[in-house]
Amino acid sequence: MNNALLEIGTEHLPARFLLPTLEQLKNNAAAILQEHRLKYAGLRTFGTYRKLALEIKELASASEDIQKEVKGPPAKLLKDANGNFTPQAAGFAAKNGLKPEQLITVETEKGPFIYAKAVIKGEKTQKLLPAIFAEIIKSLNFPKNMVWEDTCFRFARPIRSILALYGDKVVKFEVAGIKSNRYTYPLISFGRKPIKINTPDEYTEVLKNQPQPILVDIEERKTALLKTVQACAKNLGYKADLDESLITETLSFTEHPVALSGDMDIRFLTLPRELITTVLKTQIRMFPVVNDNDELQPHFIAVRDGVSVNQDEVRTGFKNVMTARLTDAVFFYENDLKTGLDAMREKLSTVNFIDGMGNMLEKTERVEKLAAKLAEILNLSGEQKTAVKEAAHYAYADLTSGVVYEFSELQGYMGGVYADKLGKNKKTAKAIGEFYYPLTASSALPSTLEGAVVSLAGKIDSLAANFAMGQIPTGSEDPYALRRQAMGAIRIIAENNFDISIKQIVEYANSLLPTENKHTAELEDFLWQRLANILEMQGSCADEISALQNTSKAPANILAAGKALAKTRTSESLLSVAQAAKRVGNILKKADLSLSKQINTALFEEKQEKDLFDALENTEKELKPYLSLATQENYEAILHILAKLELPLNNFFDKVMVNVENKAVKDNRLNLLGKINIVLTGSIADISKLQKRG
Amino acid sequence: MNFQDIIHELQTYWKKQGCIVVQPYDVEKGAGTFNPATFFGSLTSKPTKACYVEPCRRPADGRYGENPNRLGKYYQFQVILKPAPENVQEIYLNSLKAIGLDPKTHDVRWIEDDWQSPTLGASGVGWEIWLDGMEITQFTYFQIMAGQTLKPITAEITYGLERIAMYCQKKDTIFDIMWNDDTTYGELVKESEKQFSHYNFEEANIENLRRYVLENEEECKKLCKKGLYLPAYDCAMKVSHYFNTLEARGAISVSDRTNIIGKIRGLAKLCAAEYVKANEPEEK
Repeated sequence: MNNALLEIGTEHLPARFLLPTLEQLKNNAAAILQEHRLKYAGLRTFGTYRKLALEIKELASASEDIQKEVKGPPAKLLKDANGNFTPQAAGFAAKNGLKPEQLITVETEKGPFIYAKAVIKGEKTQKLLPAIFAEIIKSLNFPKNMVWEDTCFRFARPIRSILALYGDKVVKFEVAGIKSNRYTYPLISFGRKPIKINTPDEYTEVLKNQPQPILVDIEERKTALLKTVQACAKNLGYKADLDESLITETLSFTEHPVALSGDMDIRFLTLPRELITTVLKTQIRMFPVVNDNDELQPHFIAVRDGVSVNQDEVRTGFKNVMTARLTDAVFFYENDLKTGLDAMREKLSTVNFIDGMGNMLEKTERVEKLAAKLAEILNLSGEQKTAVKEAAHYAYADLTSGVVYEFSELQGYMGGVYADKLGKNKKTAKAIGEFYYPLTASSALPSTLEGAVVSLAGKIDSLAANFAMGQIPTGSEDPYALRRQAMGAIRIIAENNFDISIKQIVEYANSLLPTENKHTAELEDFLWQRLANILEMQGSCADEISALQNTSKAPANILAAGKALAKTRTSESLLSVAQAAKRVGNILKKADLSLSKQINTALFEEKQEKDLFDALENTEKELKPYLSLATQENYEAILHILAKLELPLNNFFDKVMVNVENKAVKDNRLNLLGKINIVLTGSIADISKLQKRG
Repeated sequence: MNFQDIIHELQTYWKKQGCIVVQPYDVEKGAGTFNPATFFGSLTSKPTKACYVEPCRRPADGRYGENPNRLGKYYQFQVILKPAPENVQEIYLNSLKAIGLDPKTHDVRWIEDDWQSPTLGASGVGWEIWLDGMEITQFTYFQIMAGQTLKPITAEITYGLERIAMYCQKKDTIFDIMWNDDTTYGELVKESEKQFSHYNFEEANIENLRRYVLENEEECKKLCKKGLYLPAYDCAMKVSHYFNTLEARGAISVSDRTNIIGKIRGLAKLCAAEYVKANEPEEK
């Protein structure tokens, strides 16, 4: 039992590949080791942009034995008349690595059969590892691959070394023309003198103790990174804005992170904050510096790979680059302010939206109309309507701005800044600034009612337009992020308690499109699926969701009903009513649909149908006060009332036959059930969809 | 280090690495990759090592010599190595030393940047290389050229000479770069930037340019049919340049653009196919 180590030495891997690849390395290794029946105590990965390493703790010295029992031909074929093994028996034995003498016969239900029963001995790990290590390397997948050498091996970037040890022995194999050995390499800028690794155990320590230390353990490197960045910030008397994705990226382009700080010309602080931090974080990978009130300070913290030699010149270099980038930003920003929102908006006519759905100016005009319509339906005040109109008018204007052209992630935000700076109403500016909210499935919605309406209009138009052109997301294919937009739209409607259904809003959006939307049903279902996702997240089960499925109701009501249903469904009575409702539905399905709908009490023959009728009338009366306001409490009350139908319904089905000879009596009973059905399926949810739990 | 010395030192360094020092190719082009030494050089199995300065014309990037960071014509220093040597990254880092930029005392960062040229039907995998935050080099392992899958793989290293000079000389504008001890880059190119910007943005005759595009396209196809892939490729480069000029002139619509780029790619493929036919022994 020894520890094993595999290190794939590569040229600079793309930063975004590192962490997912290490994850894969671990998972694939576990699967491959299992397949080879090799036991071990644990797996650990290490990695930098030039090293992908795997440590296998206490790897067994041989793979596990396995018992094998294979059924062969019938026993009569074991030996021939002369008592010699038949060719069939000999062949079967050979196939299973046995001599014919070792075969046994076993009594089965179908008579006696020949069996090969053997123990497959495990193999020495030393012998298995070369193939296993090669297999692990080959198993790694990347978003993008390349070839670089004669064997045309595919990997993210060229492999330049392979370190492979089992205990103190090199595991010898070759991949991509590279022979494994016991060497790793220093920071690339410090040459390529091999570093000898004697055993897996000393790997991280040896790298750490180099003149230029390499922190190959991700967690250790992260701790070091945070420490060096925070120390820099502390020296300045401030804090660093420790953006999580920048930290991850920085970890992925350093083997030994060393932070250095520098000053930023104070004039840049007049730029919008997000613009400065976007330039710093995404263009030049620097950490912004803030004070205790989270106000941006005129400094930067950059991270270089390796120790601090020539720090001043490096600092000057970083500062110059930052200055050049921020100068560009100032240029774009000032230019945009000069251009103004109206000119930006006009220019939208040169930006294509999606083929067949016009340009972005035409889209803007549709969104303006849709937003105005929604403001009307939702009873917004005159003042609110004005802000909605103005915000929708300029919602997409910033797409043609210089800043957004350079930094597309600032769309919306910059529009809001420009609206504010150019003297638009504060509400308008806020709505534009939050137009693309929520930016992720679960992040914040537009914070104002005006913003919510405009943002909703934009999303629904995009969805309707894409569906009309047949661009419907399938599987993982969703190039226009329609799922996220649909989720955003549903959340806006539900969380703002907008009294509008999926059907209605789709209809409004469709009516503004230049062509007919032939995929309306798909779009409604697509939106419903997002609502179903929310139901699921708040604890609804599959049968409850199908009971709740309804695109003609306001999503907020459905969510409230969902909560009520999840809470009430444990009631036995309700489930019993659900069973009865199913039966009602089945009977009605087979029935003649041209019913008069009138119930004539004079035609009742049985007490149970009269009782059910009375119960129904009573239920309707009881339900009335709860139907006007769609709250969870009311929905719970409704469900309790419906549950009370258990007894009359069950009695009815016990004693009353619906399909009798007398047509008048039969129709009357069907009419009664028809009315019951409306109450059971239409009051809150389709109760008949609820399943009994096992 | 003066601009001309940077070029000299890079040539000297790469000459020592066994590169032929090729001279710039005398047809307008938008990037060093268009140079026949790179374009054809990457195609066959024959090993190649070459380096050269290549003037690149990008008509739409001109700013009348007024923007300190933009030029309509600038210089790349390009190295191609086929097959890409195992220690190519190290060789590159040492070349920085040769121009006074010791990687030990600077932050050298390799940022994922996969190059592609729809015009040449080419793509590769590689990085842009940052020195203390500034991009100074594009490093690409070609994977496909003119639609052909490559083997062996060529490494292409393209230095942005002006960027490097600005960094070495600590200048804020391109025009202040010292070409030699007493002449600035600006003195040599500013007037040309101004005049060519006027030409490219205002004066270039659109009808003539459209005609040149068509004529050269015809010519290229005709020459390819006769196996004359070298003059044919000149024609393809010219189509590309006239297209770039038309674009600067604002005479190209979105659909035009896709259309002409597709045409140029078609021509590049024809030339490449003829070159391979003539220079590569038949595969088994």
